[in-house]
Parts: sequence; C-alpha cells; structure tokens
Amino acid sequence: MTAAPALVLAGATWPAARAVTWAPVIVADGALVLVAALTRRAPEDGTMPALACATTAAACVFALHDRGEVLLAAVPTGPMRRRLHRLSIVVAVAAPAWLLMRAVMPGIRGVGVLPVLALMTAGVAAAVWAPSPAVGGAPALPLLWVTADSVVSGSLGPAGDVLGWWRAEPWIVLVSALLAILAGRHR
Amino acid sequence: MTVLAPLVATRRPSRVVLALGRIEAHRMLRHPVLAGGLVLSGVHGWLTLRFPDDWSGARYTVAPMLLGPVMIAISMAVAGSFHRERTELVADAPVGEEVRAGGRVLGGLALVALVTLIAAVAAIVIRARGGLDLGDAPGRTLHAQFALTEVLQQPSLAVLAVGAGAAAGRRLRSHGSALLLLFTAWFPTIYVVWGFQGRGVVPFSIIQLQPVSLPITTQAADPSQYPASWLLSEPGEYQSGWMRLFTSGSLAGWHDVYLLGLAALLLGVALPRGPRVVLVSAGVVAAAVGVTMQYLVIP
Repeated sequence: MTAAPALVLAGATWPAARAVTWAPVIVADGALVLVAALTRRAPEDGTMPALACATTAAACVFALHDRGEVLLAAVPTGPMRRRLHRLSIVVAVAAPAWLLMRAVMPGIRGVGVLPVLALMTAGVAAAVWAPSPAVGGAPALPLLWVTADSVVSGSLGPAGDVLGWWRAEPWIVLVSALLAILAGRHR
Repeated sequence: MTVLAPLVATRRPSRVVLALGRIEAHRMLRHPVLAGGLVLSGVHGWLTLRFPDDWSGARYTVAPMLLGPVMIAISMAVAGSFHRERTELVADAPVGEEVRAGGRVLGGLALVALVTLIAAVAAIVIRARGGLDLGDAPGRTLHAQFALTEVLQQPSLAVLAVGAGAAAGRRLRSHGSALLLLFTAWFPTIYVVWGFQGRGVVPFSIIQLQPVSLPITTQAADPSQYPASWLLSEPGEYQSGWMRLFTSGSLAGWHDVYLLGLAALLLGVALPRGPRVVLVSAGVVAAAVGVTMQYLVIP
C-alpha cells in the first residue's frame, strides 16, 4: 500500500527540518538586529525596511537548496512538492522571527508582510525557472532587486516604478511570481 | 568551468602565488555579481549627472557612494573564492593554505585595481571639466576638486571589501550566510550614509562624505562677515542657522588609514595563524590611529 503524499511529507518534516541550512536565516536575523541597533539614530528613509525585506526573503530562498537533491531525485515525491515542503518549514520559523523583529525594531516597525512575501516568491520563482548552473544565484534576486530600487529611487521613469513594485504594489509581484511557480510546477 | 593551476615548483612560493592570483583574478573579474555591481553603479552615476543644477554640492557629496554596489560585489566575489577553501579538494592541494590565501588576495587586488582605474578616470574628468559646485553664497565655489586622499578612499574601500569578503567567506561555514552578512553590513553603510555624516561619528563612517557640516556658534547677521575661506550652508529645512562646510584632504587621508586598518584586521581574520597576528595587530593600531587623527583634524 502506498502512503498518501501528504502523509509522506508529514513524516518527512522533521528529517527535512534537520537538513535545512538554517545558518542564513540565523545570520540574516542576527545581522539585522545588530544593524538596526547601530543605525537607530539615523534618519528614517526606507533603507532599513528594504534591507530587512531583502535579507529575510533571500535567507528563505537560500534554504531551498537541497543537498540531497540528486539522491532524492528517484523518490516519487516530486521536486516542486519537496521544494514547497522545505519552504513551509523555513517560513514557519522565519515568519515569527520577522514579526518579532518588526515589533521591537524601530527601523522596520510598520513594514508590511506583503513586500517580504513578494520578494521571497520572486526568488522562489527564479529558483524554479533558472537553468541548473544558475539556480544557486536565485537568492540574489531579492538582494539585487532591492539594491537596484535603492539606486534608482523612483527616478528612472516607468522602469524605476517597476523596480519599486515590490514595496508599492507587492500584490502584482506576488501574484506574478505565484503564477510563474505554478507554471513551473513540473520543473 | 574548472580551471587547473599549472604545476609549479613549490620551492618558489611567490611564483605559485602569482599563478594562483592570475587564475583567481580571472574568475573574480568574470563573476556575474561584479557585472551587476558595475551596472548599478553606472546607472547611479548617470542619475547623479542629471541632478538639478540648483542643488548645490549634491554631485560632490554623492560621488563617494556611487561605487557602493561594486563594493558589495567585490566582497561577494572574494567571499566565493575564500569559501572554496572549505571544499574537500584542498586537502590534496600541493601547496599550503598560506600560499592559496595569498593567491586569493592577489586575485582580489585585480578588483582593487579596477576600482582605482574608475576613480582615477572620474577624478580626471571632474578636474578637466573645472570641478563641481559646493556650498551656498557667499561661501560657495563652482570649482570644487577632490583631494588625492579623497580619490584614494575608493581603492581603500575596495581593499576593505576584499578583507570583508575574505573573512566572511573563510570563517562562515555556509556560503549563503557569508553573502547575507556582507550584504547586511554594506547596504546601510552605503544607503544610510547620511546617518554617519555628523561631526561626532564621521571618523567611524565607512564611506566618508565630505564636507562635514560644522555648526557656527556665533551666528553673524550678515553671512559675508564669515571668513572668506569658509564654504557655507544656508539655513533651510534641516538647519536653523548657517553652517560651515568643512572639507579636508588630511581628514580623508586619515580616514583612508582607518579603512586600510580595518581591511588588515579582516584579512588577518581570514588568513592562517602565521600572518594573522601581524595583520590583526597592525590593523587595530592603524584603525585606532586613523580615527584619533580624524578627530584631531576636525576643528
């Protein structure tokens, strides 16, 4: 008798959680707290929220990296199912940490959850669609996007507006990225 | 693509370091993150040229942070190189870690050379075009030039970027952690740079923006009564009275010493035990001297 996929994943949760590379999540959160403390007197101009969203999103995408990918290619649970399973484990830890930081750090107080979700799903979509040699670069997408937005600061016409969508219109980014993930579900 | 180092006699470690340095330089210069950093810095530079002309001093003040994305990219590329020190292959390498690290640092210096070239060309272009505007009348100039030590801040920052990348890449087990730590450390130093412009904290800033605004204790009714050599900033949205804009080649020079001290400290953290003590000690001393002298230079 074959177990249902949901049961298989539920049984695999603890081993998968142990296999996740947690260090980027811990380092990102620790560094954010430190930087926020050091820059607490700096004028608030949206830089800290951008940094917090970018690093949190990138840390979650880093956690998608599966060291046992080749070994697990033979199991009947597909790569997308395993990818989302890992992501849900990481988000279950990263989300409370994010909400706690948002509550106690003046620099990122009031930042919505949607921008970080938008950046994270964009990174996941990049990981799904990137050709295999470039998959490792997917976590760089949130970092690159936020840096480009900070450089341009909305002063490049329509292109500058699009770069600011992750914070101004996160729904557009979120839905587009989810559609891209859905379209690549067999990858 | 895997690049194999040519087999060289280990009796001449300097030749091995040079050979490894050449390979590392090629890899780092072709790193995609460097191309991204150069593009972003180029866009930022182009946007700076389009600043409105009535915003006096904007181009002079913003110029030192334009290569910020390149600095992040240098740190990430160097971190990638030093993180390869953790691969299992190194156990079979015919040369020791000191030699390999020397090659990696030498490769990183190619990126420093690139930054030096960009900064030199920019300084020459600004000089050829007669300089930039700075200050508000009556304390205003249209021909502000960067001192040599201000230009040298860019290569010093690049050396610091190499040191930071080396330390994070070598000492953190996870490559992702190293990249995120570097990004989190560099991003505010570039985009919250305004927060480090105050008189009390400017010596500790990583990217130092000049001029430093100094409050004038005795406000004159007529600003033309202030010394003619002073650059001035008029009262406005962010200040109630006139401020003196202080620029100094010495301040920039001691800030370069501070940056190179930090770079030596971080390189010491990355390198094996032999050179570590020397570099960390020299770095701490240089950084402390640099900060102290900056405080002495600011009036």
